[in-house]
Amino acid sequence: MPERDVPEGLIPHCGPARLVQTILGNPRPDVLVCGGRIPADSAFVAGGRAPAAVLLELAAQAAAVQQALAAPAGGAPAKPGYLVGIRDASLRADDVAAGVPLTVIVYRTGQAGPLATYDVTVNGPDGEPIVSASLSTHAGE
Amino acid sequence: MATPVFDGLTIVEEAADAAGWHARLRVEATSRAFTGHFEGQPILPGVAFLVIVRHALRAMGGPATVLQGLPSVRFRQAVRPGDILEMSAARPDAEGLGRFEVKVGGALAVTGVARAGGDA
Repeated sequence: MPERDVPEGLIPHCGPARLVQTILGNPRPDVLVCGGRIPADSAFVAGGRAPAAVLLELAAQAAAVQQALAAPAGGAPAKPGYLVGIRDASLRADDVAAGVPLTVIVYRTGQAGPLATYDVTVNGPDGEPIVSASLSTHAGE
Repeated sequence: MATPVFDGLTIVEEAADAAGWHARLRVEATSRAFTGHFEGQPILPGVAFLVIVRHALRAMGGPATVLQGLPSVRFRQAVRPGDILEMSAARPDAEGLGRFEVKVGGALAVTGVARAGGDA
């Protein structure tokens, strides 16, 4: 599957809040690989770097992309979803430079109505994991 | 004293003691953390609280203290522009684990456990 931009309007995040950029692969219906970065104008960037915990937002956005792609075609337009829980997060760096290319892999491990759970990993430019966690999300009202 | 932790977050009061860290914070309506999150329905991204927890761990343990893990976090209530946060973080135990919580208007907004360590 060739790399492509995340379609405009697929998720509601925009401007400096938009971290996920591209879809790199969709090897299975419940697995999605995306590219992203922390924008230099993010509220969380100081001195060109952001705390590594911000990468969990990138993972949550990739999960939202997975949800949108898995939804029936012609579904409702993008609406705010919510990160409702984090479990077993491991941060292998304290901070990350803004603008560097990152890869995020999300694997949907469960779904019950608007609630979903994901195992996520965010890798740095060298392919090494920076953050991993299990996320719980709510698709919103 | 007002100390920025991220754009538009003001620490109104902050103190650390033997038990832990406590602070009163104001999320300014002008914070760029709300820009694009979301259009017409601004709410503070959940990771903003994790950035504050990182700050709290440093306030207790010094600048070399890092946030190494989050065994559990639960986001219970959305935080909106102008909200005042009452936040506390327990001093990490021998394993580096400490609970934290955030209240808005007296109601729990976020609860969790963080794991602190030395340089990541």
